[in-house]
Amino acid sequence: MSEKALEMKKIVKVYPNGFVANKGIDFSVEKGEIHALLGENGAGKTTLMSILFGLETHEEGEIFINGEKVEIHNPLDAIKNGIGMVHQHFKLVESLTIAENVVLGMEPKKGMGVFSMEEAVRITMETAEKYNMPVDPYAAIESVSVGVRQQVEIIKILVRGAKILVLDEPTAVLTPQETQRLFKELKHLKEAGNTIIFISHKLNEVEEICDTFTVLRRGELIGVKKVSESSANEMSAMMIGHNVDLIIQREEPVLQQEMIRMEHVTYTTIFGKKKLDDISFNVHAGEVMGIAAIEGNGQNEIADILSGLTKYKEGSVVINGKEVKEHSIREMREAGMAYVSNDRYKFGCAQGSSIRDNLLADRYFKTPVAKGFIVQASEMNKIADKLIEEYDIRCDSKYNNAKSLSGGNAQKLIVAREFTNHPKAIIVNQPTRGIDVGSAQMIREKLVELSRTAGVAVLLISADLTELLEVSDKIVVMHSGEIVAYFPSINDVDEFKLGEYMLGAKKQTPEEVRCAVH
Amino acid sequence: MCGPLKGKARKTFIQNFEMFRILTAIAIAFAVIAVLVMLSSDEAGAVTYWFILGPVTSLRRFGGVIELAVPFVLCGLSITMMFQVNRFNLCSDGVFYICMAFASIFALFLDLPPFIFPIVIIVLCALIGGAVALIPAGLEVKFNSNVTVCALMLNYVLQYLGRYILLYKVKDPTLTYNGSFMFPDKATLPVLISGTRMHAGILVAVLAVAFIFFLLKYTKLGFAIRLTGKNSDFAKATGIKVIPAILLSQFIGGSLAGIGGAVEVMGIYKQFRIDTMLGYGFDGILIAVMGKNNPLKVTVAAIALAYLRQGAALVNSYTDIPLELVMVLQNLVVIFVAAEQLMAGLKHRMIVKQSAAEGGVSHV
Repeated sequence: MSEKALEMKKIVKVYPNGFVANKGIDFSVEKGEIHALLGENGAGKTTLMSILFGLETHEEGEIFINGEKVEIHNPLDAIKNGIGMVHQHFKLVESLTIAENVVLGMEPKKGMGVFSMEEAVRITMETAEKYNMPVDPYAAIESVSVGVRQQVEIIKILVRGAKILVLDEPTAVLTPQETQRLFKELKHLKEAGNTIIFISHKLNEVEEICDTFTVLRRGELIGVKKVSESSANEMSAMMIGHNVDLIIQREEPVLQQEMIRMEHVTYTTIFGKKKLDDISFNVHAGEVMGIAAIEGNGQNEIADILSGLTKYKEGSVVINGKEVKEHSIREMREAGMAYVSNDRYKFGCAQGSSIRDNLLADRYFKTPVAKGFIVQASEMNKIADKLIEEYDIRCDSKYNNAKSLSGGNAQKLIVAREFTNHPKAIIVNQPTRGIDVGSAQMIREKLVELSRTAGVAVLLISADLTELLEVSDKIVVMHSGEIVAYFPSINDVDEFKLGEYMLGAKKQTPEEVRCAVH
Repeated sequence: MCGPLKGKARKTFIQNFEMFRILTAIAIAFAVIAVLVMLSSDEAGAVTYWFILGPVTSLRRFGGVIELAVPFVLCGLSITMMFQVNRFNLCSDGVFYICMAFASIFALFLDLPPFIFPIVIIVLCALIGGAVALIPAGLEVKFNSNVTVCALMLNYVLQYLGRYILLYKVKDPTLTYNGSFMFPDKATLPVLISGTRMHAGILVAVLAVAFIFFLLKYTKLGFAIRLTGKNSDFAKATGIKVIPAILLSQFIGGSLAGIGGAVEVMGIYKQFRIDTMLGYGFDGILIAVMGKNNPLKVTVAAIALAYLRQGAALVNSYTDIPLELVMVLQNLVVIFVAAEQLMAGLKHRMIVKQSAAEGGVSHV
């Protein structure tokens, strides 16, 4: 059992800006185990795996597969050595069928260069059946769920002969039911002799599925342990260097005036696709409302309407007592709305601008920063320094581009801005997706704190149900543009129950859903 | 944390390396040039002398550098403003030309007191230039047409419109060449240093640099323009009115090219006699790129390019190598300096070494 499937020795990676991402990391994985690679964002996990998969070149260090030294310069080398990677963002062609995607780049031919669909289907089904992943090879990718797409990615790399599978946050996009199924499949794969490297921030999942874990912090190896001899608390302490309390202390909300009221909002895209169907709910100052939904079920449209990015025609939205149909985005913000987008690098920050400018983007034009038509650098610096300190944004200098920040720190920058411009209501869409435990916990605590002490109405959209249940006071569930369930108290609900509604398997009566406005 | 090369130290290292890179690039360019010159001329020494030192051998010759730097600075800033919001609105050359034509109309048909007269002409040309630059930008906003294609086509319109003005509105029929009547003295820019043609346009260029620097760095509009350029979706989400920011930056960019045309025709020629575009607008692209869209660096790039051009002109006048080869020399230098990835490998190795020296990489 002590045979090493993979050994990476003294890996050093320096990025062109001088950032040392891997400071001589040793990483080894035994054959036939599920090995978790843990660490905060910027700890060097992604870099290490990119080196393994040939996407980045390392300055120093050696890689051994099954005890043999290998040189990996590009993904083709990696595949040749039996390494396969399932990226967080799937790399599939939406309009092609599952079988076509599986054989893409190694298409079977039936002579004269003609593509053989039968052979593609046979290859796909052989692997799919072997590992008990029942997929329909003739279905187009665009017609199947996220969970199935992930299966296709796994089949794809297995077909290419992968023996070491790297899964980068595979559960981030899945519902609890889909996660359970994935875990079953991973166990199958393990029993069949494959080795799996599992990158995740969800420590309960690591406890459930992994045998061993390795923790990285700031580019260095912190430790390797058996999961059976450790605990989630120990893991998070190793990851961030000190203990974090993973439970948020929360008082009962004291409801104040209604801050957000959406009534009978229906939204149809210019292509005629109905994205929101008669949505009604309200959020009061002092409480946190959660929206649970699988990606693409209308939650982003709600966020876009409330931030002012999308204009609605049917229904009404009232913010702090005022209808906002005619409001510009700036007027929405002046009315007290703050917005943390799920697309952090598109709507949340400008990577080419300095950290300081990003922090000031929503208030550069008013006092105390602006004086007449001038923006005062001294005031900007003062505010930026304060926010960097308060939100622990780790950077060399506030004048550096936001691009130099790790994912977690970029998100801290965004919330530092959105949480501090005296908001009355905040929309946060996937605030902790893909960021480290420490930063995520801080953001969750801030959300609760804002609702309780500053009397802010918080609307939290998240695919992380643990987070949703930990932070929200009440929850609505959305499925294909409709509210399908409303839970006035989180005591009546758990992750599995939410999952059933999210998948569309169950639906409350219109009367129950109507209670979301109260 | 962001690694061991801390803030300032890393910044100065990178800046020093940039200097080193540019100097090396120039050295390589000159080495290539030396070979070319030796192959084609018996006067290699003279060529080197005029090319490198020529522009500083007399006040008049150095004046030539500064005279040329004035339109370069204004066109460089013009393109800088266009690029600030990622609009490749390449109409500056046409704007420069048409504003020389309009300046000649104003100079010949208006009658204003001295001192005020050139200022009024500059202001009018700035407004015309800004308005013209809004055509491609506005068409893009309104009809989603391609701003670059539009601007390049617009250049032809402006060139022939300019020629029309020259040939049918302001031409002095007694001249043997195509030229307008001479401007009245009060409609020209005075020479600042006698013995050269360095004119008051220099002050205009200096003011323009100061204005753009201040605008971009210290004003609300500048902040909005910069943020829009870096990420317009984000700018919009924070409540910035993106379209006005884009249009204003294009207007300002056009104005600068317009001012450039007015200053050039009133300062250097004192009549309108150019029947084709000078290409300064396109030199502006080069200058803006070399100056990384920073007004101060743009100024340095403009002066450097003017120095090269002046050196090339002197080589052409005083040695036997043909003009064509002179142009090759001049542009080789630019190509090497613009090669940003030159020595990127060396830079990377130096950064790794320096990181190790500072104790960041534990196992090296």
